Amino acid sequence: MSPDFDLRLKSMRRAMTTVIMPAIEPGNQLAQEQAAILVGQLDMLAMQWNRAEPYARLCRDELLRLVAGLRVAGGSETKAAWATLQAVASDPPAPAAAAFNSLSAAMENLVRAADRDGDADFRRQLHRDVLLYGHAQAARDRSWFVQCGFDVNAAELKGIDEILAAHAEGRVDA
Amino acid sequence: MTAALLEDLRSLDDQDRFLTAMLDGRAKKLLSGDYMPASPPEIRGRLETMLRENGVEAAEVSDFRRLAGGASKEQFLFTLAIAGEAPERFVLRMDPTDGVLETSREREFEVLAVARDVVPVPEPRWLDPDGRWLGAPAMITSFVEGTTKPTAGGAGISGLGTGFTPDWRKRLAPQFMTLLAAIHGVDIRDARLAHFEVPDADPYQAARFRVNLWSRVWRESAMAPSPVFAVVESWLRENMPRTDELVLVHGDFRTGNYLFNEESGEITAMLDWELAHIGDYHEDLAWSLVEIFGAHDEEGAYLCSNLMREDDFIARYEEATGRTVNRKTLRYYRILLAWSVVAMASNGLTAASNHHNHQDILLTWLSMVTPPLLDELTRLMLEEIEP
Repeated sequence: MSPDFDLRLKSMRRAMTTVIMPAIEPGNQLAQEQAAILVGQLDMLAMQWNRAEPYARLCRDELLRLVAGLRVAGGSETKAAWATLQAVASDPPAPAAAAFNSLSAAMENLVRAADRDGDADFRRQLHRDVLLYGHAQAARDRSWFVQCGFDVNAAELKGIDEILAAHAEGRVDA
Repeated sequence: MTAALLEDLRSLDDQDRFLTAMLDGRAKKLLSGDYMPASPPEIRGRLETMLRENGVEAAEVSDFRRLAGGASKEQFLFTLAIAGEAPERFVLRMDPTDGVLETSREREFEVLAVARDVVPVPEPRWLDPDGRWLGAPAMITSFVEGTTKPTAGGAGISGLGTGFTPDWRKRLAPQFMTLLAAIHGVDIRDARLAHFEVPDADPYQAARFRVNLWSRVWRESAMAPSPVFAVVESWLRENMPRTDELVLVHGDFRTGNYLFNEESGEITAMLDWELAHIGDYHEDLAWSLVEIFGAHDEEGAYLCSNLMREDDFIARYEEATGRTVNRKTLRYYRILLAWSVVAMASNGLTAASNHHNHQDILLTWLSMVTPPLLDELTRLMLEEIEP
């Protein structure tokens, strides 16, 4: 499998920075900005491409863990939403990224159904569990996208390889 | 379900009628195919027709070129020479099919006309409200000299991560506050704000308008589902604060959205008025508290809009306006704003996915603000439900 992804991405980056970007007309700010972002995206892809599948599996598994901990109580709409979520969780689609999206959609639907006829205690617990899960997921995603430079607290983040290693070893601090 | 939530879910459609009409129009636009921006020469030709039909005779358009920036709009700079007058530079802002947000050039034009009475802004000169001349809604303003960041400071896209030294903070912070106080002193009943609805049906309508706006944007164009977004929406609906004094809200009041002269240190223009509306003054304060729009100082303390520490920021506002800042209300709007920016970022991704913008790559890049926003949002929310 040669040339591999790393070499192709590096070649693209070099073409951009040594040939294409210098050829952009100095007054064309839009093209300059888009070229700079393109280089930034290539750098991120170079880091992410061979970690994308394990990362998607980690995200899917943490969402499944949230679903497994729910104790649902409520009226017909809540029960119907829960049934849908359980169906997705018991047979998640492949690949893992698709499973993550399907589970997220079913979970969002459950939150909205619980707003309409969920038992008060269940709804309170659901909100807490979703926020705790969301906070952990945000921490993972911050590490995943840290190269973009938007995070003012980047210094506090774990490295993505550390996070993936913890998941591979079955530790829950992933 | 709580009574408050039940009542609010019944009023999902309670929205500034002008924004409702705008979003109704957007729903139709979303069915269109790939957005193919017209070439600068083509737009220049349309512009010359527009100017001629608006009474600008014997005028020559030159140096017409695209500008970067403007995460949601196409922007062009040009020089206009009218016979007998000195050449002047102008900025043309034009709608693509979709972007991070749908806004109205008509409202932006109106609010600039009103705001320029009290703060420096680009002068609104010509409006194409429905795209009859330029092919899409557009407006033309004067060009204002200035920069959004010091030469040595550096900044990312859309002004995120602008770096200020202590000296720059000392020069800019008082002006920043003066501008905010002046904007919040505008008469919201000014007849020129013809396309702005005043949310005064009840004390909660100002907050409800904002929640309903971003809830609708999410429902119609979120790129990916989010249970966190739904939980936060529930909380926002159940905890709406009263608004006892309505003001003109800039809607994106933060570092990155003003220009200053690097030699004099004077702020030369407040920009990006497209989210302006009538609402609660806490909302504009909250923009500066959303973490992605700030930075840390030399001692590691968080700086609102990279200018002031939070307590200083609030004290200065209270002193400048005589108003009291309600910390609970401020916190509500901080959550609402972080939540709304998540909706904008997701909408931007959908626009990029649909090829409805001229800067798909920029929208994709900007959407990566979402993880830090969700971190802040979930942290604030967990503090709310587990005090």
